[in-house]
Amino acid sequence: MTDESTLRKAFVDSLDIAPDTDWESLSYRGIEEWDSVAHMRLIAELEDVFDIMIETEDVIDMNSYVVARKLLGKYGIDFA
Amino acid sequence: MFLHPDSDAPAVIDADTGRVLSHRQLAAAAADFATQYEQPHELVFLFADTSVQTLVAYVAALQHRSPVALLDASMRPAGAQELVRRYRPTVVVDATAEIGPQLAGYHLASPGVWRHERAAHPTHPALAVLLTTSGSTGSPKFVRLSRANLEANTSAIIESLGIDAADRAIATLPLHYSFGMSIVNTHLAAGGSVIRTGTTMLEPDFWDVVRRDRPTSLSGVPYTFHILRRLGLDKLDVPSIRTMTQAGGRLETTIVKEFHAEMQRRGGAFHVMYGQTEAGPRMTCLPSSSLPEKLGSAGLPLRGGTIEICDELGEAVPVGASGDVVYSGPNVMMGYAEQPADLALGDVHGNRLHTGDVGHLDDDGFLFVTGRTKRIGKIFGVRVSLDEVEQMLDADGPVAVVAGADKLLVYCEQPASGDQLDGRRRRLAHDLRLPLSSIRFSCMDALPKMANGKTDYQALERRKAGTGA
Repeated sequence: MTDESTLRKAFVDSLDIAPDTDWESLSYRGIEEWDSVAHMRLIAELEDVFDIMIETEDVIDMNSYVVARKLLGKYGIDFA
Repeated sequence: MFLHPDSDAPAVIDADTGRVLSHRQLAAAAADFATQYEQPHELVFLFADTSVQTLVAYVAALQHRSPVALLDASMRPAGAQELVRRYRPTVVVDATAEIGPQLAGYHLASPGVWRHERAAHPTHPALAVLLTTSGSTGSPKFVRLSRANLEANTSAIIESLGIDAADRAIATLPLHYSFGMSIVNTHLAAGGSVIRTGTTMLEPDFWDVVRRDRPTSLSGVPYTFHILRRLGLDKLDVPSIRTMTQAGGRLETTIVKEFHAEMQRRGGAFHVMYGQTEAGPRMTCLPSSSLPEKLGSAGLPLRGGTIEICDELGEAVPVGASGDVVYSGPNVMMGYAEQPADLALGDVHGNRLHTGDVGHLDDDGFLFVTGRTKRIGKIFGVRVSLDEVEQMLDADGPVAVVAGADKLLVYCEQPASGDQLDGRRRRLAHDLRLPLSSIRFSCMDALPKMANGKTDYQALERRKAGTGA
């Protein structure tokens, strides 16, 4: 089990958002900060933090925080 | 212009609604829409989105000889209102209906169309399209392109890339961006088709569209290809794409090589092009057959165009020597417009354009672009006037802005807290419609100055190099 704070920190760092974000509603193009550039940075950050290689389909499916949390399970990253 | 009213082949595919217009239907829809414009030569503002209405309105304006300014529908409303107030177009088309209702003196004439009843400013009969020169700074400066400019550039591009009726482009670039407009012009004129979609390459829906509507080509700026490379073209299962066209800045040669090899495997081509809005917009093309020998080159001038390399006095320099890139050709704009009176002007450029780029020609006439002389940054393919950004920011104290790789670096003289700087950064990103990550603010005790009191940008460039930006 991984602490979810690690995932949140990766989002905060790569999307340049406040730590007290409404995580459940956070989505790609839903806020100004999460644009295509930030998305590519987020993917790189997640790969770095969790030491994984994210597959193409997951790069384009990862369109919200909730989905990211779920998709990372595929790579053996499960959140408590 | 660009119409084939006798063709039943598809012209426009609206991927988001499934609606398809043949060339015949597009011509009819444009003729119908043109009734909104009434008199020819009256200025139209088109706030462009990815809808079919936007495309029909654009084609209608060309057809009806209504000069049309192509603008970003997502530009900040205050900037849009100021532009409309300044130029007072007769008709404003805004399919998003975000800007139209806010315009003083305009009334809704039909869905997405607003009209002004006062007499319009006179425009030159050759004027066809107005494009902004600098991203979304809200600058009132337009590039004036004539019908002849567009026709010359369109036919030269079609010839150079071999675009034909079987070609289908997917719109990855907006219509108000000169490269995006040019993709539409060339594919419609060749009797081919364009796919419109509001989705982006980072959404599964976009790739579903590609697999269903089968575009043959994909065009983009360097960043487009960075994303494509990370996604992996082979993993996307999109075999219909056999041609790629890249412009809007320099793409790393290793990446050019990779995509060239992949397109060759598919029996297609990877085209590197070099252009500027002022040239309506494309000037050169690197033929696929010259890869990999001429890797790093922007290619040869399109038919009808020539490139000269000149020194500061405007004299041509010897082959191989570096200097200012000067382009001549029938696609060079009539000139700029900064106020309504300028819309009545004819050609003031004599088909000659000082690009503001620095480069050299090799023995075979291939152009290599190596830098810029003008104070212009390129951020994700969007041109940003650094001086205009400074003007947008100087209410908060002296600033100097320089450009890095897809980045704007803002140096402020006034001390500010981290929170204040972050707020200003967010505001600027919002106003310029640029990604937040592309803007960096930092404070200096004093901006470096030259003896004449002007900002010493060379010193800032050296400082930037030190930070690796």
